[in-house]
Amino acid sequence: MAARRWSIVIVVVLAVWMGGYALLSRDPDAVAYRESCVQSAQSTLDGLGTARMATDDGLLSSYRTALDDDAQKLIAQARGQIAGQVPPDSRSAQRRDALLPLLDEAERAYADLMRSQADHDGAARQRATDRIRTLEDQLRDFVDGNR
Amino acid sequence: MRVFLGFDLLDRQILDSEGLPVGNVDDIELAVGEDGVLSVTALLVGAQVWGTRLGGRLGDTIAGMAARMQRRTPAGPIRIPIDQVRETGAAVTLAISRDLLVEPELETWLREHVIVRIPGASADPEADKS
Amino acid sequence: MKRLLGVTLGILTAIGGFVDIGDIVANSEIGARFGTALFWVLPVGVIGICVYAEMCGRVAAHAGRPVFDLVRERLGPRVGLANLSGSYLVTLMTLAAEIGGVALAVQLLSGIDYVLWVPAVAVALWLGLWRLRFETLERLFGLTGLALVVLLVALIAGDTPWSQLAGQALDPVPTEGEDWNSYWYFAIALFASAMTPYEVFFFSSGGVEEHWTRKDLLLARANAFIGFPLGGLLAFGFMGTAAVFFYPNGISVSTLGQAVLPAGLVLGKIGLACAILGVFAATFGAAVETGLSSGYTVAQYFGWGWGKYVPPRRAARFHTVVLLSILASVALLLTMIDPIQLTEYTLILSAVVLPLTYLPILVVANDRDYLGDRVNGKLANFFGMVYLVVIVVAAVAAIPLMIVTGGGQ
Repeated sequence: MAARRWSIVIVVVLAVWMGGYALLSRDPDAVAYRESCVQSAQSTLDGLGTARMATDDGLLSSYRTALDDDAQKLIAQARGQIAGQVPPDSRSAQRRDALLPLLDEAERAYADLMRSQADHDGAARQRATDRIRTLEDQLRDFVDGNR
Repeated sequence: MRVFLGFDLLDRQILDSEGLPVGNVDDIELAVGEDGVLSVTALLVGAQVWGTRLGGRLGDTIAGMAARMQRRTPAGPIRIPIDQVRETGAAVTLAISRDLLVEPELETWLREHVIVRIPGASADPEADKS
Repeated sequence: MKRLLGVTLGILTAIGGFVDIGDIVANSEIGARFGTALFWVLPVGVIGICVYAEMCGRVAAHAGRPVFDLVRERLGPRVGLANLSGSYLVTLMTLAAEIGGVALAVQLLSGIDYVLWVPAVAVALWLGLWRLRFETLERLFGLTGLALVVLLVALIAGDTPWSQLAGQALDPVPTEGEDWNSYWYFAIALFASAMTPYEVFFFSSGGVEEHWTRKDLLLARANAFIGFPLGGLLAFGFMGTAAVFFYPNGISVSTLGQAVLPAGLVLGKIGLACAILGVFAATFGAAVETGLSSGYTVAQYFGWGWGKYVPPRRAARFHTVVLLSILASVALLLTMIDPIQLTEYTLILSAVVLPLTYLPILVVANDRDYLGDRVNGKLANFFGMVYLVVIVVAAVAAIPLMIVTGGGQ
């Protein structure tokens, strides 16, 4: 009987504890939007950076396919995170306006990189890699500036 | 004869004379002796008595299910008379082999209906293990 | 000479056998986000599991019962059942994560989507458990798992800024862009990856099944005390390479492909192949152990027959539980849940459930009825208590931190 009472007490305490924490850290809309933007930029950064590193010739082809697929998923995910969300205020709209060109550019650069690999075009690959490196810096700055 | 106290026995693993597992002491059977003293007369093993001891709705449900699904006669848990117990240590060791005891129905049912149907069931990869 | 070979083999097997998908995921992700700032958690976790494995081994050798056996007896059937439920659930999730890890590794070598490999891996696992001698399985996967040393080789052979890594390790604070919430959240995940519950179930059950004597106990201790730390070193290979390749670029790791990439970049195709093979072996071996452990927990609570050497016909209930556990894991993976994400959740849930596993061990190891005068000495109890406090704190903090950080963002 006592054990039962104790288990109820423990469950209630846990529920209050968790609920309290969740409530205290609930985000208003603008902060949530900012986080979406940051996550989106981070996903793009992850996808691009990994794709760039994986253009190394010393890798197994099946592996590289898998890695490219992962990179593509990350970049698509990034787009999906922002699409359909309406910026709640003007600052959020500004954030989105800074982010979207980066996402567009990322998709283009990634496509160019993949094409250069398929065509075995070394010069094109170098160009794409350089563009990606610049983009990575820009994305990193975006993430750092908007945390 | 040694007197076994309840808490020495309950929830202990039961091993047979060769150290093979028989089950857990799910409950004990008590009887009042001629001198009016309660003593343990048997170990009880089975889902019915375990469910009853567990108590609460969960325990009662399990005990009920186990009773309904039982097909062996006489009905009830597996009963091991206390004089079959050789010693109690970290586990309860019996003086007899488990072949002499009734096999739990679930074990029999699963072996006959599930295990045997899977190819290679009778193979014993450790047959040559010393 | 033959004895020395046997001992070495045992230790090498333990090293390769220590690493599982949880270690790989935790170390890679943390290395990419925190560099080596969470390095200190690794030795803390390794020491913890050594302390408790030693207690389990002693109980197996002197009481002749595996620890979980004694949980029901000590805590009663009701609390014991709650303990069983929690432990079994987490072991099941871990099994699913390991099978997922194996499938991902095969995907990296074959180019075929991991989901198609999941049923094949499950069948291979089941067949291995039924048909192969356990020693064969253990040796095969433990030794092949040593291929993961290639990550350490990549770390040493590459352009590693050692002073930077060391500096960061000695400055255990959140890195740029991280706060204390995510820092402790990942610390708990890394801690849980080292102190995996199924490891002690397995160690303890193995000791009982093999009828460990005092002599065997010494050997088992050597395996654990040398094998586990070196296994932790293997796991560090993932953290170190992630810290060198991903952290400086601000890239976070979320796939197995990324985790092994450094091996390919430094050592080419061979390095990459070794890394993938090592991941395959480590996760498959872990799947074997977890599969058996899922059966052990249930069978030991109910007093059924169990054992890795017991043929299915003689322990039908135990083997059925193992089979059902594997099927449930496959079902979970076929919901297309990302195995890496599943691993992350499993680690946090493991942290919550850790006290259920470790408190009974500490209680039993102090019980004179089971161990006579081989109960814990002052040193074992000191470490045992300290770690128990750490484990409880981690268990309590895990879920709130998960909520606050949104699952690590």
